[in-house]
Amino acid sequence: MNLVRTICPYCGTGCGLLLRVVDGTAVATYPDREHPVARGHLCIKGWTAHEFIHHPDRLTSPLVKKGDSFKEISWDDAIKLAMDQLLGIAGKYGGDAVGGLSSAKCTNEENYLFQKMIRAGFHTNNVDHCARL
Amino acid sequence: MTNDEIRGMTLEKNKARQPKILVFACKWCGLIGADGAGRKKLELPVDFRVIPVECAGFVEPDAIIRALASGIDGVVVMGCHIGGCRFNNANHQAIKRLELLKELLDATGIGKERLMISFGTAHEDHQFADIIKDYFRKISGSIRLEPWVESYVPKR
Amino acid sequence: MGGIICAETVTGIETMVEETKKLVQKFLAERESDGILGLRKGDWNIIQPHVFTLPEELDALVLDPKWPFAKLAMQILRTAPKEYRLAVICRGCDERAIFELFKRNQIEENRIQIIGIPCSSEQARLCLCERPYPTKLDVGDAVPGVDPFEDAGVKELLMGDDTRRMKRWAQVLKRCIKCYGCRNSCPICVCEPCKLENEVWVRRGSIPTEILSFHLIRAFHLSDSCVACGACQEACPVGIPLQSLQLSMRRALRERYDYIPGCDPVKKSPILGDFVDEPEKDRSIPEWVNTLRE
Repeated sequence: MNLVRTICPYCGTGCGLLLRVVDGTAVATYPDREHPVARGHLCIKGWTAHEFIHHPDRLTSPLVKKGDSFKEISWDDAIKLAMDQLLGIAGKYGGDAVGGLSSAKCTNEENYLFQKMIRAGFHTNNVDHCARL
Repeated sequence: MTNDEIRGMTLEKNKARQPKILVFACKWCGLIGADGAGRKKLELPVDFRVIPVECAGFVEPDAIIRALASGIDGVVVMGCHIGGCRFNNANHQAIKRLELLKELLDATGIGKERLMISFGTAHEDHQFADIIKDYFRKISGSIRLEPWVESYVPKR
Repeated sequence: MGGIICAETVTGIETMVEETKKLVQKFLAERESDGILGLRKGDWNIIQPHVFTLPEELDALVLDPKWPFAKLAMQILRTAPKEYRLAVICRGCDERAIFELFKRNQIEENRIQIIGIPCSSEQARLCLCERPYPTKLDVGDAVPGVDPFEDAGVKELLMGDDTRRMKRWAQVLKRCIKCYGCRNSCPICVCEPCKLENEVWVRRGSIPTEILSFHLIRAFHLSDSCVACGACQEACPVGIPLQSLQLSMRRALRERYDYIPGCDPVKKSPILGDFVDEPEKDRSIPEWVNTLRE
C-alpha cells in the first residue's frame, strides 16, 4: 500500500489529495489533512479524482482532425502543427485573426504565460478562460 | 376507501389550509380498520392517503423522511398489536426503529409529532377514525416545514 | 481527575510515542502482523498515514494529530491478499469503528490487530468524545470523556423550541455542497450501492441537494452504528456540525437499551431485537407507543 500526495487537477484551488496506489493503479482518494489549502476538505470532484486516472475514455495524447475523424499524434508534432498554423494565419491576416481559450484547471502561472503568449506574441486581446465563459 | 370517494371529499369547501397526512397501514390490521371506517362512512378528515404495506416493519424510515421532505405534514404508521404481528417480531423492530427516527426528527426541530406510531388489531374502524381525527387536530397546530421544503421544490 | 491524566504533558506524549515504537518493533520482530498502520512524519515534516513494515522506518512514527484509520484499514485489507494481516494504531473511535465493521462482516477478526492508544484530554474536548480511549489500552492512560450535551455549540443546536431548532438546522444544512465527504469518510458507510446515489431518494446531479432527504437519510442509516469518531464533521468543507445530528439518537440508545455502538465486538444493535429480548426499562411493552384505544 502506498499513499501518494498530489494536488487535485480539477480547479485552480489546488486541494491536497492522497491517492492510494495498489500495483500502480490509483484505487482511492483521501483528503490530505496536512495540506495548507484544503485542510482535509474536498468537493465531490476531488473525492472521485481517482476514477478518471485509468478511465478508458481519458485522452492521453493530442488528437488532430483529419477529414471526419480524429487521429492521435505526438506532443511534439501537435505543438509544431499549432505553431505553424497560428503563425501562418497571424502572418497572413494579422494578430486579431487568432485567439486563445485557456483552462481553469491550469495553474495561475500557466494561465499567465498563455495570455502573455496571445497578447505579447500575437498582439491581440482575443484571450479568454473557461471559468468566464 | 376508493380514490373517487377521497376526491369527492376534497371538493368540499375548506378554506383553511388542511394538513396533509400520509398513513402507512399494515395490510393485516391498520388497513382493515381504514377500510372499515370508509365502508361505514365514518366522519373523517379529507387530506390523508393510506398506503397499504405488508407489515409495519416494512416501512423504511427513509420513506418517512422522503415523505416529510416532499411536503407531507405528518406520517402515521399503523401495525398490529405487540405480539400480534404476522411476521414474528417485525413490529417490535419497527417500533424501535421509528422511535429512534422520532429522536432524529425531534433533534432537527421537525418535531416528534410529525410521526405517529399506532398499533392495534383489525376491526377497529371507529378507533381508526378517532386516531386520524385526533392526529389532524394535533398536526394543525404545528407549523409547516417551510425552511426544509422550499429548498426541495425546484424553482420553475 | 488529576491522577489519571498523563498524556497532557509533553513528556507524557513523548514517552507514549516511545512506548508505541517499542510495541510496534515487537510486532514487526515477531511477525505478528505484516504491516502496521500508523502516522509517519515524512519529508518536510508532513504527516500522513503509512503502513510500517521495516523497523528502521519507525523513527518517523508519530501519534498526533488524530487521523481516522478504520476505513483506511478496511480498504487496505480488501485489496491485500487473503493472508495479509494488519495491525492498526487505534484511538478509541477507530477501535469502535473496527468493532462495528466486524459485526458487518467487513473485516475478518483474525486479520486485524489493535494497538490501543488514548487521546489527550484536549483532543477529547475537541471531538466532544464520550469515550476517548479504546477498550484495551496498550500505552498511556485513559482520560475521562466529555459530555457532548454540555458543549455550548451543541446546546445551541439541540436546545430551545422546535421552530428555533428547525430554523437553525435548516440554516446550517443549507450550506451543503453535496460533496459526499461525510459518506466517503464515514468508517461505517460501506453500503454498495449507496442510497444517496439513488434517484429515488436523492436527486442526482442537482445542487443544492434536498437537505432533508440527504442529511436525514444519511444520519438515520447511522442511528445505531455511529461511533462518534467525527470523521464526517472533519471532512465537511462547509463545517456542518454533523456529529451533533447523531447525539440525540446515541443518547436514546444508551438510555433505553444501555447500548453504545462499537463498545463490544459481538453485541448486536438492540433495534434488531424485539421487546422480549430487550425490555425497555423493565416493561415488556413501552408506554410511548400510541396504541389504539379500547
